[in-house]
Amino acid sequence: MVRHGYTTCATCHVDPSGSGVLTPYGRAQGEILLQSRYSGKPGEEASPAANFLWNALRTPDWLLGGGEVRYLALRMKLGDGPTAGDLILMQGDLAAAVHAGGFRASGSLGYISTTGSPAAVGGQVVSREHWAGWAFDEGELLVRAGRMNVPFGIRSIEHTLFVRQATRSDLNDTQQHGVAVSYSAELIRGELMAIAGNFQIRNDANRQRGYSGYVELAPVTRFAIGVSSLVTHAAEDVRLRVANTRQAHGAFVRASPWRPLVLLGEADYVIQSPSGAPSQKGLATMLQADYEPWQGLHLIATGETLDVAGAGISYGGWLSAAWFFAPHLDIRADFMNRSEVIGATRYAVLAYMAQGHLYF
Amino acid sequence: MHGCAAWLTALVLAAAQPKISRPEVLFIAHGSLGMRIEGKTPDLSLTRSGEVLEFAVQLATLQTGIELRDRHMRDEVLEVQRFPVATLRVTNPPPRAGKTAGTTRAELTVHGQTRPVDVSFQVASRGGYDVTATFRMDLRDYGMNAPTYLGIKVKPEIDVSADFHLDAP
Repeated sequence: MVRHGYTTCATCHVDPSGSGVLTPYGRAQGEILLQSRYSGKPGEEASPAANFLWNALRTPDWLLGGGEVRYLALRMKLGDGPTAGDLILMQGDLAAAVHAGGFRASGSLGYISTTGSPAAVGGQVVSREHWAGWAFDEGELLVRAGRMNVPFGIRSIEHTLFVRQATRSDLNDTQQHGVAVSYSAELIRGELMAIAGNFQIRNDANRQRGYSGYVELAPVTRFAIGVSSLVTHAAEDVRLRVANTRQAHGAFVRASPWRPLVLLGEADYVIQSPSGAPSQKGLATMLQADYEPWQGLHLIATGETLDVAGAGISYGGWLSAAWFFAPHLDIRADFMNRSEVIGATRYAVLAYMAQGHLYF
Repeated sequence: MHGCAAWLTALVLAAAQPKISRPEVLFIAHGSLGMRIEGKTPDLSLTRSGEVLEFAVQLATLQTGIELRDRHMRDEVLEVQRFPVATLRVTNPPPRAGKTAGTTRAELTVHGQTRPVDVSFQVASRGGYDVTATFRMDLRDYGMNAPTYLGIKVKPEIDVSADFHLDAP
């Protein structure tokens, strides 16, 4: 949306840092600005189909419906191994939000085709977010508590990007429970979250506690630059199996120098300090160019690097195409080519992905 | 602080036909939840009548980058069918020269209503003169309602600026 001059997320999303349940304004913009339009009539209003469930079910003004289904067909080749295919239901969420006076709440409940997700509340049933809070000043200031996306860096759908994986701040399943304060204004927005841990995993020792936050400035229309910081500690890190303090500190930029083009960039310095082992320090970066030659059609090129464990630089490139072709519906194809250091070994990773996405 | 306007007036009066180039009029509206709306038009003209300078903008040419929003602005806020032109009149500035920045009182006519506004000027000599003028207006003073769209409100205070090059006589 930065190409259209929207540098804050709170006009369109109940979550002021973006993603999740849409506001009525966001639903309308989803059709007016994001979806391909075929009538050729400029300045058309959003159709009733932009509403929840394509307008099949009207909710009271204070109740906002939502939810998403995202299905992925994946073919992947790791090193010299065979090419393997898989079909993955990445997201099958129903969601709702309450917007009554200053009261705000949002929650989701869904099903995925894999097990072991840190967002699971049981088996393959997941709840990515559930929070409640109070908004002040017409919503510019929001204090909320519950399970929510970690406020850090650029909130993008590509949850496997190095920057998202290295900082554990993706939209897929790395949400945390805690208390957060967010502020959304014309020139500045930000959010600071006190992280109490993920209470959807059983072992308290695995829970990360600390803080995460970002501040972003938008000095001119269609340009925003920000910084993020995160420090958490877990008595037993779920990946390293020892006590670990994680830090990530970085900068990010969103810019649209020419309306069809959006540039997203992020660089994060990541530090892990596992107990009994040397610290692992390094950089995760991402640069993405999104070209929209026709409304709704996006051609995307992404480059990324990761150098955290000192074993060598992993790097990768993505070529993607996405088409928002109908109300609430989009399809996307990605080709990903990475040279990735896993452990002490470098692998070539090729992945072909096709996905369909709908939101209610 | 009328010196800058006087200086500008002197420049214009020196020309048989005041002529401007590279004009751009910009407004910035501020909305709730951090929304900012910028609208632009290059359609700025300048005429003089005696010592009165009149800047005119064809409001139908304002564009914010979103066609639906432009239509709402034209039809529901500015009502450009009834009030197609906004004018800014700078009248009888005292003759004082030598200043390149300042503030002057002008009369702004929008939506069929005229109110005084304080306009800040900057003038720079560059093969003629580069002029920047800014002022703030309140939609309510001109009989217009600040728009609300699907829960998002636009504040009534609007920042306006104009940049143009005044060709040398």
